[in-house]
This record gives sequence, structure tokens and C-alpha cells, in this order.
Amino acid sequence: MDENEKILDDITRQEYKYGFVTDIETDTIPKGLNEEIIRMISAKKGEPAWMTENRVKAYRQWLTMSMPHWAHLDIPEIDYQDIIYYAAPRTTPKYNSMDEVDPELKATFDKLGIPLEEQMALSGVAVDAVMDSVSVKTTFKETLAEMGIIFCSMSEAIRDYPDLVRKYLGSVVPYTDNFFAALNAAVFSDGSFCYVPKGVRCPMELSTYFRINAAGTGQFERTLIVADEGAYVSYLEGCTAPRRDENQLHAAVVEIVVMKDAEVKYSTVQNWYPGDKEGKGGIYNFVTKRGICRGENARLSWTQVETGSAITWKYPSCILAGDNSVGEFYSVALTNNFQQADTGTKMIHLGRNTRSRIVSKGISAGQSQNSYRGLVKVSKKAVGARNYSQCDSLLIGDKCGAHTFPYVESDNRSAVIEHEATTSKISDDQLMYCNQRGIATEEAVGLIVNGYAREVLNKLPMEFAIEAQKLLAISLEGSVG
Amino acid sequence: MNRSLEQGLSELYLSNLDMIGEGLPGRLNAARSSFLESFNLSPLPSARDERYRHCDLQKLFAGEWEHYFTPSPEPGQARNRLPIEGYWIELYNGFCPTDDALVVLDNGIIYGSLRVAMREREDLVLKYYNTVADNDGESVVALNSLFMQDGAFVYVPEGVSASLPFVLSFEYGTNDAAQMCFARSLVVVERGAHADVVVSHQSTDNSRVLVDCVRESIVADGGNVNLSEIVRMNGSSTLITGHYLHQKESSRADMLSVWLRGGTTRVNARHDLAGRGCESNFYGLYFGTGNERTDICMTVNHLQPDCTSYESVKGIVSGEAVGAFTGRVYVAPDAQRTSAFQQNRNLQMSDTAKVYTEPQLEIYADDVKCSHGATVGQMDPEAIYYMRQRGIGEEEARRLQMFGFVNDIVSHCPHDGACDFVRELAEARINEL
Repeated sequence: MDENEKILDDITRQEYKYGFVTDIETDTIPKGLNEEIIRMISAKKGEPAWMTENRVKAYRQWLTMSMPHWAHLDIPEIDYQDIIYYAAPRTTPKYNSMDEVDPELKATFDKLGIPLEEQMALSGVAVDAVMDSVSVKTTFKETLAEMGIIFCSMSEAIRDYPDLVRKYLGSVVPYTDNFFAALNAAVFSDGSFCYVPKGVRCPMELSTYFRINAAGTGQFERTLIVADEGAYVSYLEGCTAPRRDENQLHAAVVEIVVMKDAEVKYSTVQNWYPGDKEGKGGIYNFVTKRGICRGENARLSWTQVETGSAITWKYPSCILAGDNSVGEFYSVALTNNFQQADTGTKMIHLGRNTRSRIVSKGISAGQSQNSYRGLVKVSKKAVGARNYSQCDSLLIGDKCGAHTFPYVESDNRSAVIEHEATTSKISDDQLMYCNQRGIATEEAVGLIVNGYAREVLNKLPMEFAIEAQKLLAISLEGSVG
Repeated sequence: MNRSLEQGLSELYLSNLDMIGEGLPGRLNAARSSFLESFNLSPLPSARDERYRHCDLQKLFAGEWEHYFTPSPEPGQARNRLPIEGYWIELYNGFCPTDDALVVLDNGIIYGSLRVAMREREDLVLKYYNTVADNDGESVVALNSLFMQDGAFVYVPEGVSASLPFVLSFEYGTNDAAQMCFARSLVVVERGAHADVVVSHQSTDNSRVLVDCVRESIVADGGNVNLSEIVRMNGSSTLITGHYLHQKESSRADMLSVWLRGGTTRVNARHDLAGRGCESNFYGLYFGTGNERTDICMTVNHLQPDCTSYESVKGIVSGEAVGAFTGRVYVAPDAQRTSAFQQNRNLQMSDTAKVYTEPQLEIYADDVKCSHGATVGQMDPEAIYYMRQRGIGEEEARRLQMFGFVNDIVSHCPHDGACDFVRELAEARINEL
């Protein structure tokens, strides 16, 4: 109990604690978007010609597309010419030890709660810390390199492993996929690249912290994870962003390729700045995340805890192409104040005996709108496909909304698809029970919410699970009573 | 440039304006111009419209359709009439026979041709007519309101309980030419009144017919209505129906719809629970074989607190049939203590059949208990094995399982008289699968 009380106590007092600006000189380019800007980004990053051409192609595609409006979201008009598409710390430092790192930058990470040394020692997590799109520090590289695992920033990958990047980049999310994927393919600044070779089990959890720093810049991350035959990797992604009044656009793309017998676990804790209590400011988080199970017996698991962003719009998806492949999606999405979320997943069953499982827990509080939208599609050839989806929504307060939009499409008679969803509030009986035992209402709500989300939180690696629990409670601050 | 479908239909209306409005109240005809406007504003939806992804109205309305503005002579052949004793209203291609009079019973019940009712009880009918249908949101509804010439009218006054069911028998047949028909009905159940209504849509021959049907049902405070619907259309027909139910305080509606056969069937159903303490129960069952398409789109609007709704729709599809279900439960802000349940279960019997199901919840109040479920699957092989062990042949075992599957719906038929008949029809249909 003490532990819980402490967490709740912590959190109920906090405002968004990651809201600060680091005063580091940043290297930016003019606002706006045109072919010249794209060539400039590519040149600044010292990319080969093929990459530049890919970007330009994507940009031309983007010009022909228009922003989709089908989501259950109220999105203010976005002026794409009013965004700075590239910001990098002026000097890209390369250090051998922590002492050499810019003290200001180090302090930023400390405030974020990522003490690199401690994490290295405690949990054996390799951290590829991304600040304003350019990777400034990569740890445990040597250990990984010994096993043949490549874990580096996307820019390095383009430089050092062009063949791998060319083979897989855009193979799961092509630039023609959607409006934001095209935009990302054109302007992406950096991101992470991970390749686990045949038969290798990555011994540690790989992690990246994204952070938006300079004002008025969009963050366009590009992540590519490839697990070759029989490989295993668990990848963690966490996001925090400083407080801003101006809305910021985050349009990332994550691609995962899982080969035969391989397994990838992708966990996210998303805590971008959600805007203040009046709904002013906040990040627009429009992300395309998709993985493909290419070979037999491949496994892909998405776990996400979404508490931040003014608007969240994403559907981490699994294409189950290999026979007997398995896709999983576990999600907790919490919205408070004026936040909006339209999130869920897509499970595309193509191979035989493919299985998928969806567990989604939505929590809406304040005046927020929280939607689950998910597609389960079983194609003609997917004999013996099996899906189970469960989507629950919890309502806290009478001004919020919780919505469920599942899409089930079956083209195969042997498919077995089940979907169920419930929506309710925390019952008075539950609160009464807690109150009777001396637990105050606000604490009780925290307890109940954590219990409600446990099924998903249990899927997270330990460090993340603790952070996620705290985040849930922080985000619910002031929504009770 | 090709004339658009909408232009063609508008022109058809404008050039026959006098014939359509003949003998109908002036203020009704005056209102038609606004339907023309709303029809022109929102074109017929195509498959690009999210709500019509599985039913492209542009394609369905395309081609040459004849439309007659006068009642066509009834077919002579014997028809498979519903074996129900009741207050019958018979319509052919949307028209009641010209010589039909409005029936007024001693207890104040009025039923019969909508056209006659509009002429003889103008104020009563126009008080309710087109108050519930979604003329602005659905262009097919606006189209129906534009072309409406006749239909069925049922009025049960305050506190009266109708002793027999009203049978609204819609029949369609054209002999040869592809024909477009408009069917309309209006059911009003006043305060504390009770009515049983059975609606039948049936083809009388194998001709192509496109039916645009709109039904408005209004249940006032404390009223109670049982609504059953049986659809038996031919394989080349298209039936587009809009069912609009408006419930006031403490009213109750029990509904059963069985779509036994048809070519393309599209259902837009909207149930508004517009008073406190309403209860609404809906059971639906559809079958699809061959190239049949059934697309059911249901919305239940919880607009006031303390309402309860339950919907269960089941489907069996085989051959190359398509079954689609989109259900939406909307709970308005402040519609507290809502309890809503919705489920859609499907049996997919062949690899060429397609099933799409989208149960949706849209909730803006917190003190609610809402849940939904959807399944797509086949028959349970273990249950079949169990039955075979006990000497039941495989075919029989499969049938038994399907009977069980549909019985769950059919057993909720709210009319004692119609129950057995509906069950027989469903079992006969299963035997064909």
C-alpha cells in the first residue's frame, strides 16, 4: 500500500515535469517544405544519392495526397509550410565516456530520468538516446557488435550498411502507404536501426529515447528493426517532450521485419506533452507502425502505453504472412483534459494457421475523447486463422467519451474471430469498498485503474512497467472529485 | 457529359410532379421541394462512402429503371401469404388498391392506405409523417419522401390495445421490366397504447425490382409495440430499407427481423430512445446464399437517461454471399445509467462467402454499462462429432447445429401467431444451405 500511496502522492501533485527547454544551440533550416529543403536535409546528413532520390520520390507522392479525415478526431488545420523539418545539435559529438558529453545535455537526460551510467550498470539496457533527431550517444555497441547485432542511428546505418537499409527500408511501410508515411519518408531526420542476425538472441533490451527540443520543429523519426531467422529482440521506445504552447507534429514511421522463427517485442511508453488543462498546446502524434511476420512461426508483439500527446493517431499493425505466425497487440491508452486518441491495431492474416490477440484498455477522463479502432482481416488463403480481441473502456467523469470501432473482415470459412468490448465507469461499489477500508477516493481510482490495465502492463519489461504505472496516475491527476 | 443519376431522378420527379402530388395535401407537396434540395445536396452514396462500403448505391441505381406513378394491377397468381389473422393492409409495388377505404374501428384505431389517410385525416397524419425519418442524412430517404404517393398507415390511440396484429404486406412484381418502387409506412402508437405489427416484403415473381422503403414508427409515452419483419425477395431484387423508430418516455419496443432471401438488401435502422426509461430489443437473422448481399447498418441512439437496449443479429452465409453488419450504439452526453448491449454472430459456410462486421460504441456519458461482441466462425466440429457418436448423420448434425444457432433469434419472435411460421421458414431455408 505504501508504495502505491507514494506513487499516487507523487503524481497527483505533479504538473508535466518534463516541460523545460534545453538551451543548446541547434542547427536548423528554414521553415517550409519543398524539393530544395528535402535535398538540403539529405545533404546535411551526408546521404548517398539513392537516399536523396528516395526522399524526393516520397515528397512528390506526398504532394498528390491529402490529409485523411476519417478518424474520430478534431484536428486543427496543420500548415505544413510552417514547420521546420530539420533540427540537429550543431556539433554532432562522438564521445568515448560520459565525461565528454555536453554537461547541459547530460543534465537534460538526468531530468528525464535517464541516468545513462546507472541504467547501463543496473539493467544492462543499451540506450541510443536521440535528441532532436540526431543520435548523440550509443551504448553497449561493442557487446552487441560481438554478436553481430547492429544497433545504431538510421543515419549511420545508411552510411555503414546501405545494402541492408536499401533492402528493408520502406518494405513494410512504403512511401505510398499514407499521407504521413509519405511525409516521413521525405523528411525523416533520424531514427534507430536494428538488425539481429540469424539465430541470435539479443541479450539485452534495446531502448531509444526520443525527445523534441527545439521549438517549431517536427519530429520525424524512422525506425527499422529486422530480426533474421530464429533471432529474438525486445525493443523499448519511450517518449517525453518539453512543454510548448505551439502544437508540434510528430509523424514517425516504425517498420519491423520478422523472419522465420524469429520474435520481436516492441514496447512503447508514449508521454509526449499532452497540452495544458485548457487543451492548449501539445503534440500531434500521427505515427505509422507496422510489422510483417515474413516467415513461418514468426512472432511480433506490440505493447503500448499511451498517456501523452494532444492527439494520438496510430495503429501498430501486424501483417501475418508466414504460416503459423503470431501477432499480439496490448495497449493502454489514457486521455485526460482535452486529449484525443484514435488508436488500435490491424491484424492482417495472410498465412495459414496464423493467430492474433488484441487487448486494448482505454481510459478517458476530463473532457477527452478516446477511440479504439481496429481491423481484423482474414484473407482467402489464411486457413485456420484465429483472432481474439478484447477492448475495454473505462470512463472517469461525465464529460469524456469512449468509442469502439472494430472492423472484422473474413474471407475464409475456417476463420474464427471473436471480438468483445465493454464500456463502463468505475462502479460506486468498488469505490465504496475501498473507502470503507480507509482508502481515499483518488487513491482508490489509481488502484482500480492500475488493476484494470494490469493485463497490459504485465507485458512490459520491468523498468517500463513501473514508469508506466506512474505515468497512468500522473495523467489522471485532478480528474477525480 | 453524362447526366448523373441524381439529375436523372430529379428530372423524373420534376416532369411528373403533378401526377405524384395528385390527391395529396398541398402542404405535403409543398414540402417536397425541400427533399429535392436535400437529395440534390447529398448524392447517392457509392462504395467510397465509409457507411456504404459494402453496398454501392450508385451501382444499384444505375441502369434503366421504370417507375409507374399509378398502381399497377395485382398479379393473379397465388402467393405465399402470411398465415396470420389480423388487420391487413396490402400493398402492391408500394400502392394500396385504389378502392381501399381507411378502416376506423370503434376503439379509435385507424389503419389503411397512407394516401387515403392523408386525404381524410390530414392533420393527424402530417403531425407524425416525416418527423422521424432521416431526410437530411440519407439521400435514399429523401428520394422516398420525394416520390411518396402511397403507403401503409397505422394509428393506435391513447390507452388502446389492439387485439389483432396489423399486417403490412408489401408485395413487388413487375412481370417484365426492371422497376423502381417506393414503399412507405407510418406506425403511430399513442400514450399507453399497444400494437403488434407484422411487416412482410415479398416478391411475387422473378423480375428485377428496386425498392426504396422507409418506415417510421413512433411510440409515445408508456406505449408498447411489437414489430416483426419478414423479407422474402427474389434473387434479382434490390431492397433498400430505412427503419426509423422513435420512442418516448417509458415506452417499449420488441423487434424481430428475418431476412430470409433477397438479391441485395440494405438496411438502415435507427432507434431513437428519446425519453427516459425506454426499452428497446432487437433480434435479427439473415441468410445469404449464391450472390446474395445483406448489409445491415443499425444505430441505437440513447438520447435520454435510464434507457436499455439489446440487439442481437445473427447471420449464416454460404456460396458467394456477402454479409455485412455495422452496428452503432450512441450514448449522448448526460444519458446516464444507460445499459446497452449489441452482438453480431456469423456462420461462414464457404470460402467464397464474405463476412464483415463492425459493431461500434460511441459513448459520451460515464455512468453506463455498454458492451458489444462480434464473432465469425463455423460450426463446432466437436459438437458434430458428439452427435455423430450418438448415431446422428453428419448432415443432420450440421443442420441441428444451425437450427440451434437461428433458434436463439427466432424464439424471440414477439407474435405468438407468427412464431411457428417464422421458424418453419428459417428451417426450410437451412435445409437449402
